[in-house]
Amino acid sequence: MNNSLDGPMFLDRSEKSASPVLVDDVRRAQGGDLVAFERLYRDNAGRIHALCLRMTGNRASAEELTQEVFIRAWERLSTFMGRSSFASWVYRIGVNVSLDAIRADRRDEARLGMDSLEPGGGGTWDQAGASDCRLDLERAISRLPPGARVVFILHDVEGYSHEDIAEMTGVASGTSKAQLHRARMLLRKGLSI
Amino acid sequence: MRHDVVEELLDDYVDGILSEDVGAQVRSHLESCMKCFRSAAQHRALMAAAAALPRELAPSRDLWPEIRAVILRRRISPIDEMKVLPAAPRVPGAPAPGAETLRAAPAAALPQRPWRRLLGLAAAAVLLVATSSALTTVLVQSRYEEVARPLVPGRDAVRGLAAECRLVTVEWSRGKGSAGGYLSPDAVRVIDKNLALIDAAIAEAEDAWQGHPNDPKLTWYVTTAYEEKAQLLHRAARLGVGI
Repeated sequence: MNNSLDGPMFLDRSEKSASPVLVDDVRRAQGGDLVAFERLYRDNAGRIHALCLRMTGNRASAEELTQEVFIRAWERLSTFMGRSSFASWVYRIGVNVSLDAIRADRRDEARLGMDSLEPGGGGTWDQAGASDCRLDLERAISRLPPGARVVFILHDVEGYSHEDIAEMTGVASGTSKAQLHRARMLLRKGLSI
Repeated sequence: MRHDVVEELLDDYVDGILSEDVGAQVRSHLESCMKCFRSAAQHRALMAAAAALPRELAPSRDLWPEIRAVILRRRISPIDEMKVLPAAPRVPGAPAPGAETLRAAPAAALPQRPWRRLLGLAAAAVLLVATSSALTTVLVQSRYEEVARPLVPGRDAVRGLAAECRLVTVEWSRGKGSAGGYLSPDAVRVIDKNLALIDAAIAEAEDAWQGHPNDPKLTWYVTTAYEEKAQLLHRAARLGVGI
């Protein structure tokens, strides 16, 4: 698993070239400018929160993790070399933070002797103000087993390749494929597609 | 192509990652197998729905005030845990202010090979010399003021930092000469020389601060200098014993 967050490029479907203003904000933030960092936060918070919310299926956890992502990003800004966009870089931190949280949940689950992790996604999506179809899908995703959920979100929602997912999560790309197949079959069954 | 083989390849087929040849065989099978055809269509419908999910979902509340509070409370600096004062006079040979300067010795990116770790440490030391020189040019408009202002410590905190510096100086002195250490004698000499310069700058700032003990900016500069020295010494001590 590559520990360098600024390492290989993980271009996703929203990847776009950073504007000069954004690049300037990154440089300012690297110099300790919290106001510039706040602008970076506001540009990226929605996307990071969406990721954390889908990964955990829990609104409170997602907000905690979103905070953690940006605190970690601030701490590591000096390691950001600009080889990818800031959005990509901070997204990768978001994936790592979410995975850490899921692993911690699994450890708790094992310690408490629970059979499976069922995130409390039911109420999470009730007030999202979205269409029924979208909510059904969001809820169904939140009920997936963690491994399948992570791969489905990264592959089908975010558009990462199996190789990227393998790099990010530390699983083999074959495992990623198997988890994706599992996720799709479970979702089709759950949604009666 | 057999039905069970196609079933196994269906995910890759709808993802478009099969080779042209194998993809054509699957497509040919789909034309004659209603079950697989329907399954592929259902996969695609699910994928389209997933891809259409919103990429951004705003938190239910503004999280920034809490993030900012944590950053300020922990006194986290993005510059490799070191706060560089602005308007620092340049030391001959030191990197110019700006992105390259800020990238000196990134903590998480420190390579494992000793000589490269040493380069990072040396860069940090040079940076600290430039930083400490700024102690003589107080009362500048600081872009770090937002970080610093709420955190100006009292006299006790400054004395505590000074005591910590004394302790880590002892740790560094013990670690730098240990057998199997990562730092060569030349590197140790360079760092010791830089630390001496920093100490001189601290002494000068302390003198100014003693004359104006209620000046928050002088207090902050003294504090920052001690903190940075302590951080450098902690790291140098760790490197000195190869940690």
